[in-house]
Amino acid sequence: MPAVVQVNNVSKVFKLPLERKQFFMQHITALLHGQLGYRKLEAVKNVGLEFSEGETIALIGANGSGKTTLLKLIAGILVPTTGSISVIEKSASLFGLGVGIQEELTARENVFLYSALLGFSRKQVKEQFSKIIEFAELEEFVDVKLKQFSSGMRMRLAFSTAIHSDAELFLIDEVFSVGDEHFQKKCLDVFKELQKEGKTIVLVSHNMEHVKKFCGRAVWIEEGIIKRDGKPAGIIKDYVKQS
Amino acid sequence: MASSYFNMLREITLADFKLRYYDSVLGIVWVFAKPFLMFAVLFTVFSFLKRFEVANYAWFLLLGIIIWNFFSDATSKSILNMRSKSEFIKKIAFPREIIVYSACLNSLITFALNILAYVVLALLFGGPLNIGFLLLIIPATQILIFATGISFFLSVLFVKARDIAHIWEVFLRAFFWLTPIVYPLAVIPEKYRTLIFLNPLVSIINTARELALYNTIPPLFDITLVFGVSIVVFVLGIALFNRQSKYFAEEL
Repeated sequence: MPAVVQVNNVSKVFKLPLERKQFFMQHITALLHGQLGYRKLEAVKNVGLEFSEGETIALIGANGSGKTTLLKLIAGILVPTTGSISVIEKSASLFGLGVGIQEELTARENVFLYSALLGFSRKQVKEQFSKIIEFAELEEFVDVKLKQFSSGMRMRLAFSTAIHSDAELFLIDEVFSVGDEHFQKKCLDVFKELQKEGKTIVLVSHNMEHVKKFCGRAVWIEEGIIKRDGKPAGIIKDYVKQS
Repeated sequence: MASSYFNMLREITLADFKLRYYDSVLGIVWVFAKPFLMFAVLFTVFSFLKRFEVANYAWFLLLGIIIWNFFSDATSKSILNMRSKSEFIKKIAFPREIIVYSACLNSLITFALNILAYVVLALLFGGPLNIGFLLLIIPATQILIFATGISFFLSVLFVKARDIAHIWEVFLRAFFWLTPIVYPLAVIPEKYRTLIFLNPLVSIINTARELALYNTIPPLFDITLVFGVSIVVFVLGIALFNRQSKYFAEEL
């Protein structure tokens, strides 16, 4: 199996401003006092990983362990401080609830905007549009502005748009935290379909049941370092024991 | 690849255009409101209280305001877009420069509609419409390149320091009066003339007026020089932007 994602010795250091300096005067006073003004946080430390085509990988770990940072690095939203990442397939990413959605626009307009930003043509979106809405179960709300939507509805819309794209690699952060049982089940079904089609899926999840049932591989990250990497069953057992 | 790039640009521009006029009662009318209201006020003041010796003053003023408005709208909207699109930047990997392009494209549409309104008014009230008017495409291209270049600088600065938004607002207000928009170049004392031409907008607005109002072609050297300056600003702007935009997702 060819490697779809290759992460070579990647570290990511964030500069956290001690006191957020957003204004000129603050920059100037900090300079005068000779302060650095920030502390460094190494969110991902020298990580090496390889994901093969068709794999479904779960990134697990406590809050603040660096899972989302790693996923954002793979998605190309963040750039590594050292090391390199190569991704050979077209990817679609879904991060958290808001998903850069425009409150004042309707569901229809948001689908077009979001898909365009994910890199899909208008023609593709038009073809997929009814499926996207149907899957999200929002047929009645197509022309309703997003500000009227509940958080569950937004998530459904964003999730549905992302998975209907023709990407080969899906990077998904915390989808199971919202949506009712019924929708979660649908998500799992669609994941199974994507797996059958040979797509690669990387997801961050705290739901160990889903990870166990559904992922072929689990990567446990602790304080920016890969602690374990392998079959989910054993790793989850140790992970749950520790926390 | 190129098609998906243009699709992004189109969708963001379209969304912004809708957002701007969605909940307003007058909708698209607001496209015209800003320059034309400004014109109404300034024309009243400067044809009653103080007069300048300028042929076709009304059209001279209106054209100047429309061009200035394009510059001020494009640059301030680029700054605004960095704020309103920060969620996209943090969550989706797409070419960041599209945000600036879409702001400028948006202003270009407004500008085109304003020029159209200018033509309609000129036809109705017998304003000067010469063949030279068609050559407005030259200063329009110059200002588009220049404004986009400046917008790249401003967007990078905005991510580093948010007060750029306020500073730029004050700066624009000052430069509106330092640029011969309301008054003619001739008002400026001889010794400051060269100095004032350091501001490319002076030459751009001047070129537009020479062409559209007086049907004369300004020296080719001036036109080339301003094109050169605009292109340099643009190239430096996008180079800086591309170097810095990698870090936007963590800095915003």
